[in-house]
Amino acid sequence: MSFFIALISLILVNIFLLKIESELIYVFIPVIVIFTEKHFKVDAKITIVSGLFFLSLCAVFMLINETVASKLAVWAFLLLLSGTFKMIFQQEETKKLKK
Amino acid sequence: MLALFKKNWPLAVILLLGLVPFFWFRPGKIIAGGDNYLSINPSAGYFESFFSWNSKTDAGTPSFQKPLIFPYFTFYYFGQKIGISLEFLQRVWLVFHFTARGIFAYFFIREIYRGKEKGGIVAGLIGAVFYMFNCLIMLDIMTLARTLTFTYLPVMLYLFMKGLEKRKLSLRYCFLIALVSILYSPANANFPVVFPIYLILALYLVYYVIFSRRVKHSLFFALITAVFVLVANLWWVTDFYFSQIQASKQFIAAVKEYDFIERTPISESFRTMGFWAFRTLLGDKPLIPFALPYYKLPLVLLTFMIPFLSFSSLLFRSENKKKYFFALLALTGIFLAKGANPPFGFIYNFLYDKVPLFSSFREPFAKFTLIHVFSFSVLLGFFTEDLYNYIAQKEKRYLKYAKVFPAVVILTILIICYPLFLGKSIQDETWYGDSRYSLFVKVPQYWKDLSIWLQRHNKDARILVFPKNFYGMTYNWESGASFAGPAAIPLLPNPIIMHPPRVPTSEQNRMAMLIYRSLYLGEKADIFPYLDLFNVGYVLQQNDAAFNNETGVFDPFIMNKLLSDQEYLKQEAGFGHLEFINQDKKSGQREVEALGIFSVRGNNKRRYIYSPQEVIFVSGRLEDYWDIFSFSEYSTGSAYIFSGDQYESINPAQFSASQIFISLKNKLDSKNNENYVYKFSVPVSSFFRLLINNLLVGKSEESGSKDYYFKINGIDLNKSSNKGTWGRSEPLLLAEGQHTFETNLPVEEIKDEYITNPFWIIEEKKQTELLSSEIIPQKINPAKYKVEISRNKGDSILILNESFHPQWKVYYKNQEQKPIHFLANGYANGWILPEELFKGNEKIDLEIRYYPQEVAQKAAVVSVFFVFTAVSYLSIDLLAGLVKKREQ
Repeated sequence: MSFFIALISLILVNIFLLKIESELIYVFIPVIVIFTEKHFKVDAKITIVSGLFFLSLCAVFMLINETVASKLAVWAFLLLLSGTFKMIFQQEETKKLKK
Repeated sequence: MLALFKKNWPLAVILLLGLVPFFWFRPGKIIAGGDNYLSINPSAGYFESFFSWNSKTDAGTPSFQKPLIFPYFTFYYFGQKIGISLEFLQRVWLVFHFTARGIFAYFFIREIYRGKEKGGIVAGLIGAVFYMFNCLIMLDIMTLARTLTFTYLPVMLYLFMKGLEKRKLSLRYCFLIALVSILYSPANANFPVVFPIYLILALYLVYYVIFSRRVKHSLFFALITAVFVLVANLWWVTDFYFSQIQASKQFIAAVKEYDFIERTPISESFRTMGFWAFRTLLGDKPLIPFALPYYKLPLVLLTFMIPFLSFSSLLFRSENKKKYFFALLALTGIFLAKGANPPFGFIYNFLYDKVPLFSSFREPFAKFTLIHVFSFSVLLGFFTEDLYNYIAQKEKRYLKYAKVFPAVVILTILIICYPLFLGKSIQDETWYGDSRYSLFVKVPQYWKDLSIWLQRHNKDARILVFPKNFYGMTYNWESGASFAGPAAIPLLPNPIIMHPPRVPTSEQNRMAMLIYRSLYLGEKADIFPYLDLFNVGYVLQQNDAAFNNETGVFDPFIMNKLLSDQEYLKQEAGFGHLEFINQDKKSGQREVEALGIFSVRGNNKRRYIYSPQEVIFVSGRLEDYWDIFSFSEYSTGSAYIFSGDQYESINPAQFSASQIFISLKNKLDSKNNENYVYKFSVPVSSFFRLLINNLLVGKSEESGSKDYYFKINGIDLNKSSNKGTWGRSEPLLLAEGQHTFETNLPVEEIKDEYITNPFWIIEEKKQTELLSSEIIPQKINPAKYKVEISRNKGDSILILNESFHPQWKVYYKNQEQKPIHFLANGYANGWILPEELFKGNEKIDLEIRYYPQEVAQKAAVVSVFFVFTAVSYLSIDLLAGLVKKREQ
């Protein structure tokens, strides 16, 4: 959980302060998320909730600053994507264990 | 029945909401306009759509109207035949598809939810309501392709899922999918809009294969289904191949000129918004009046509620793998609809630049948003019902709130789409503060009168329409009208020649543009040669077309003066009356006829095919007509061959050219100090003159007192005479091969895009015998002509006044001949028929056919046979099932 708080903070720092524009960051961070989730056996729901959190922030920032809203939406997209994949694989693993 | 209703009570809600489009209409008016301008008279194209060649516009083009035949054209054509008004038919069409898509979505979501006996009812209702009322539909109610794609997508996916889940290969589902695909065949006229259906099926196949591991069965079922769909649609697929896949590079380049691949940021894509024109301002007013509230409270938050609640459905654990498929599908849709924007926008850019035909996805929002709208419908339904079930089982104290929640979601959906619900999303007279842009259209009676007049006089003669047509042309009709093309196309029976609405995409477009440019010459304008070469029988002046939105669109007074100055035009009739204020406002308010029709001297009968009396070879492009008609007199029956526009190179030695014109426009070889050196080739040894554009020399002479020289192969040439704007040198004998022309006239100022050339080399006219053969042409249908041709001394030349296409072929005794096929007159088909073809006969009968029509006819037979087989199989299958049930 604390990892995700750190991750979200890092993303927010990048959006509002560091402003790194490279698309490589959109590759590295989701990869880190996936490996961390796998290593610490984090529930995929947490990633989904993080994605929903960014989506909510995006909605708010649509009223204030649309550029920031777009950046938040990118992270919402990536977190929801990795969360969904993770959820599918977790379900498959559970199924295997049941068998 | 009661039991069915109890199980499916939401159908009543869907049926009621399905009636909403009925209230969008206004008495006596249809909804038409924009890109959907053919809907002002949809049955007009019924018979022409059966042919692979569309001779109605642009001097003929490969047709892709066949998919519109069923059910679209058929519905309107027979509906109007039995006396139903167009307005009522439109209402029925819209209400049917609006309701049907809700019902299909309801059953689809219910089926995949698979809960308890009553499970999926709420999910189905919520999903269906969102599928009917969403931002994509709100922005585009009338597009035929979208209407049909939305309606049949749930059915296609449902049948595909069922077919995959069967233990053995089920031909029943293969046949059903193929038959359903016919119902949305008109959508294929705009293939990028229908593409999401196939993409979704393909993605589901991949998903199913991965998780079921039934690789062989799944791929086999998909393959059989694909083949069945292809065969069922073969009746239009062949035309798709010839008209779309083989589309010219010019067309693709023109499409790419207007792309919107960076207009939809991912934040907009999430909330199924981001239409490129949504926030555009027209002056200080928004193009779409209801756009601004979508960037303020509460609509911003409400629109984000939809993806938020949809993805929240993932928080409820479920054994149902399909839910995860729709989550992934939603993310795929969001990703594609955002186009070239981050993240990973380079992927879209790569596909757009490198993958053939992907350029048709130049507006990703409109093409791909259906994918996540559909996914959100499913996920939103799942979330609402899962939440209710969760509260009912674990948090009973909140049950009273949970019961209200579905109603709140429906209300939210309707609030988000309030313009759609209230009919405000249809462009009316309040948009742009100008009634001309209204989509509520009432076609004036005088257009109907003109149509009747043409039916009586000559419905085959080509009509050139004035003023200049442009994209977004508007008409001063009772309730306004705004079209992507001239109203004459759907409203008049005759073929139309017009200025292309945007950039030119073909030779005939480029040539038509020359006519409209000529009007800038005012009273000196002479458009007769173009009218004759296009074989135009009538000129139509639309005084009811608005003239103040685009350059080159002259007001009715200027146009009528211009047209009445042309001695070869005769005003035949006028229709309707309008009051106008002249553009220069000096002559005050005057009354004019709404439509004026002029006949062109000698062209009142359509000349489909002719054999030219002289052939002029031009080393240049068709835009050189502008110069050619200023230095050489045009005579009816001439033909021009432009070497620069040919698809395959042609040499004047292959036929006996009466005269050769060589443009020096792009032949500048080098420049030393002030000496400009041109290199040019002459194809045959003959006498040639140099023509010098006096306007250019005159301008240079005014700027200084310098003497200019003009030399060919070092021989000094003097201007010996003047004709109009052209100075002429004495003739000089030039041998076949390359030659040099030198001058100190500063020609570097002549830009490539200028319409006039500085210099021409023209051959002295030869006193050749007439080349023309006697011919008797007959039009069988738009894709087939018969011609009786008499033998000539030497080879004969035949010109078909339809746009050039390599698939127009010559047949003799049903055998394809391969004479030299060239681009004649800048746009038409020309053939050099060798004398041997006659084999001693004085006359022979030839046929000229557009080959794709023959392919399409054979394909149609295959499709009809397939449909018959499919219906028979399904009937037998159904009967067998019923018998089995009864026996049990």
